[in-house]
Amino acid sequence: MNNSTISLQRLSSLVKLTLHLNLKRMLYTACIGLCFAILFIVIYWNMDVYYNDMVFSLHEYLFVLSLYISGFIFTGSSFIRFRSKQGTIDYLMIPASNSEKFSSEVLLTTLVYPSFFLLSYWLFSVIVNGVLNNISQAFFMPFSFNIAPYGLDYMVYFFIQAIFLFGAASFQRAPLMKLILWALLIAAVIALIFYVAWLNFDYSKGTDELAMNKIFYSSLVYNWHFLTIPVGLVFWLLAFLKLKEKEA
Amino acid sequence: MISVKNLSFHYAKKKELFHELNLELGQGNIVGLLGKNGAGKTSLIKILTGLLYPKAGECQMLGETPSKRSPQFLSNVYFLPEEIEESNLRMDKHVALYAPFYPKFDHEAFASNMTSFGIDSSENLKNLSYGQKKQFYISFGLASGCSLLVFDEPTNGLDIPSKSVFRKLVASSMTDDKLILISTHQVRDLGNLIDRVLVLNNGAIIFNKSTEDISNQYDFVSTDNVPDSTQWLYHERGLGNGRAIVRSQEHLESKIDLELLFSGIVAHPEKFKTTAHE
Repeated sequence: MNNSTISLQRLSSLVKLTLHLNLKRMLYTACIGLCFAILFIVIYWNMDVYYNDMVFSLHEYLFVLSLYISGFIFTGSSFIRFRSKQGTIDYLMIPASNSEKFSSEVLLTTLVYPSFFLLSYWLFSVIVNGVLNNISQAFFMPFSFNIAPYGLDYMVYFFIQAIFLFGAASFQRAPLMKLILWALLIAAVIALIFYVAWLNFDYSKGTDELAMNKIFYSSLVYNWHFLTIPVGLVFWLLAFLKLKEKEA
Repeated sequence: MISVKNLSFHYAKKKELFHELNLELGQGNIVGLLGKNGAGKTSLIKILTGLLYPKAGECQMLGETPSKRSPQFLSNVYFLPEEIEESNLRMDKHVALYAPFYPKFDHEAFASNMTSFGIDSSENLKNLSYGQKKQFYISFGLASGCSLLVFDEPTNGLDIPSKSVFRKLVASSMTDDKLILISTHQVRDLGNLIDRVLVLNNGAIIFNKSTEDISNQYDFVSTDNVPDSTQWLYHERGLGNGRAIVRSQEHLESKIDLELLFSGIVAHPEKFKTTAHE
């Protein structure tokens, strides 16, 4: 690889810098994720359903849910220095290529944060299990690293992360509001695609053409997760282009 | 080192800031970029450092196109903007995190610069005053080993002793392979520091001369000494004696009154027009 595009030495310096500047943000966002987890535990507790399977495998669901919520908040505040003119100048003047700057943000949001949250959640689960098992007879399956997001869960995380990363690179004024609207727009588009897919999937008349449609739409419904990677990569590319065209 | 050819730039399409601007600056100079508010100083600096993209024309710095923002280019250019980003880092931590990006960073020079300003590196940047932050970033920039140093209003916020330290440090860190570009409208602060004066007005470079040429071509005199007003290129009335710029008759060097010169150039640019050989 061309030294002006990616140099491992520069990239590691940049990752170190990015990590250092984002450590507090990472900690606060993980706390928000865990607060959501506590909120869900309290809701389930009050619903008096804590003996069912859902609660038995409490952490399996809560980990993924709170990772999604906090991870998207964290990714949505990527390129946070673009929110001020001085920060933008400082960031753009760092002697690293656009590829390195983008890679460090991607590493932070796709690998570092999920790993950090995994550890945070594990610690949280130990405390929660200790407390809940002491105050009730309910048994809660301990959180295991084996249920860390992989496969489908991680593909969903990656897909939405890419959308939020693009949003973060694009919106600097009123970013929160714009990100929410942006996420709603994407969700609406996805919902529309699936709604159409669902309509076609249910359609029972069997001409050859409709049969082909059925195959297409059923494959979309059952194999949609395979689309998350290419679509996510497209949003990464768009986010990279946004970074490249950024001015101060 | 800096080569700008037919550069055009605008923020709003109907209002062009630069129209086919040309500029050549070589290394080994400390250049004072002067201009009134809104003249385009900061915009020009941002184009030169790759922070803004020109709409047309060519811009080359150190043999590279700034808008490409290559790491080689960025590691050779240090830009201190007028407003500084709020940072929550300790100064020594800042150096530890940012210095690796500058291959020629000189830690000893940095420590010496900091001592000259009287700042302790173990302090957190957020606890410093605006002027002290500037001192830190100036110290860092001068130690960065970059060939091109660009300071936008560096003396804003500095107290009088610090301004003097700033001038001394800049002068002592200057080498033949460097170009230091200082943009300011506080022309007095530059004192004897600069060796070239560049004046930007309404998006055009209306004056570009070395201080040697200025000294040779103009005299800065009291109006009492040259009472014939027809000789005055520009004059200002003071409380006591007025001051005037006249064409130097004997090509002897005289002390440059930068503030008077700047006012004269802006008021009557046609009288101070730079010739091609300058």
